[in-house]
Amino acid sequence: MPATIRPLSLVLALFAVALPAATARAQFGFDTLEPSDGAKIVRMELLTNDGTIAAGATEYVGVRLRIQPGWHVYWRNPGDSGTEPRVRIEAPLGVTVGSIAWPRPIVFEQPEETTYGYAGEVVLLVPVTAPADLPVGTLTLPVEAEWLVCKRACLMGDATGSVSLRVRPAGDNRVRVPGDALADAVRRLPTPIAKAAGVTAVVEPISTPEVATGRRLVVTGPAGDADRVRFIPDLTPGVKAGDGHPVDATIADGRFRIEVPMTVEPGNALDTPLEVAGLVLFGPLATDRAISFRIPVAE
Amino acid sequence: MRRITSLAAVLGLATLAGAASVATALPAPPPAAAKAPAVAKIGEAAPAFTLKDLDGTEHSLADFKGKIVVLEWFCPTCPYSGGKSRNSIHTTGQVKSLLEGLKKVDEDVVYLAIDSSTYKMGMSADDLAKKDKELAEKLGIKTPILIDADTKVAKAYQAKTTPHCYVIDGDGVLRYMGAFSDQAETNYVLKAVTAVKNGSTVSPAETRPFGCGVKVK
Repeated sequence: MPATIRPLSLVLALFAVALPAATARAQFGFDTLEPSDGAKIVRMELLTNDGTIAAGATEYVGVRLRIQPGWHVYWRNPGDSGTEPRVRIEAPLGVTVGSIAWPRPIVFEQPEETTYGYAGEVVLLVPVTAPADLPVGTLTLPVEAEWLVCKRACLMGDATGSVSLRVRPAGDNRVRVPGDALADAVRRLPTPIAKAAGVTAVVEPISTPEVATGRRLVVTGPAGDADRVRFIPDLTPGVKAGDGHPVDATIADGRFRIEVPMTVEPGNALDTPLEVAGLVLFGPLATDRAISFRIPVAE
Repeated sequence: MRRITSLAAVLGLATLAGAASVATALPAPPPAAAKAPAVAKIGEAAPAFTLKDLDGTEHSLADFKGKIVVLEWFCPTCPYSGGKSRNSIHTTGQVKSLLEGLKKVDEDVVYLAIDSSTYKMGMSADDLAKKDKELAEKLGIKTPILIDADTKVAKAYQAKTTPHCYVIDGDGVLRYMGAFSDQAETNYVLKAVTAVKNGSTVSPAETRPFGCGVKVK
């Protein structure tokens, strides 16, 4: 069901691809749901900062997925099963759309599988860059999203909408009040390791007989107030860090240390650079901080 | 009774899902997976199994020695598998295209779907087989669908998703495990079968599968 987002002055645009409220509140049984009924479980809303973009500047378009209790959608590395949500923004010539910036996920651990994703709601941030010569006017961006949402069973959902941004002149850097929802989503992005004081991630050789590849990932740094620090792997074709499941850090003297054996399989790299990547999670909640890293691995 | 279901037979002769088999007596081969590890591993013998199809006919991996075998984990309600959605490999014709492609590579390729959804869906093996049969007839699925009632085969293969796919060579060695495709242009199963047929290295031999979770007991 199409939705058009019309940003107000300093207010986030929150028009939904909405269900009737009664339907949204309903408790669905799997026997009453079709495999493509994921839009009955997840509602999409589109957000902008203040509904404007300066020529030559980059702004996030937020794709908020509101998820019914008990269900979840997935991170870009879904884990043992699942598929990540996809967002497509149709950009006019000269406007560029970047990759999704993913907020830190939470870990869903069940006896038979471990997956990574989001419950309740998540805002996926998609950077949009306007060309420097974009004339003042209105930039309209059609948005399409699809997601797999799972509880015990899984459903596929999709929605479309559009965002209209008022184009400001290049160099118009007036102070703007950021929208709360987008600001919150930005706060939930993992901190790149380069900006995380005292945290290091390295690949080092090991010589234990049970690890054929002889390499491991070691991440260390200050633990802060966290009493549990965990590593979760990102998608890195050709490089496995552990078995794909979370790895707990040891914490001593206020510092954490994560050690993960690695397997390097260049033939499975899908023509991508060999890298090891992942997140360090400081606590279990979506609002707890996380650090991201991605480092090259020699063949 | 041993049955060999060739791809040619599947494509050309099938009338009922799981029953489109051409029965051919084979000399009893040694179990292909006699030395199979407890779990599936690339380059090692694929775990042995004997499962019934939707008509109750047993199919054993050992029956297919000498043929390339493709396994596809299946679920009738998963929107990436048998459930109707624009991402379903069955309802959008992706499996049909794959079967046509496989036939061009090797007419004798055996393609088996395995449904381990009893535990996930809270259904008996008979009820699941009935549901699968109705769906197979509706969608025109002509490849055998085998019911993994106690989910032990899923566990042995570490099947994580529907569709999680496997390619086993004629010697019973597992050569590929992972996604059906890259969800764009490349079908990894076809690529792996082609490599096996040509005697070349399977690359990638392992990918991350997408889709709905397989729940094992």
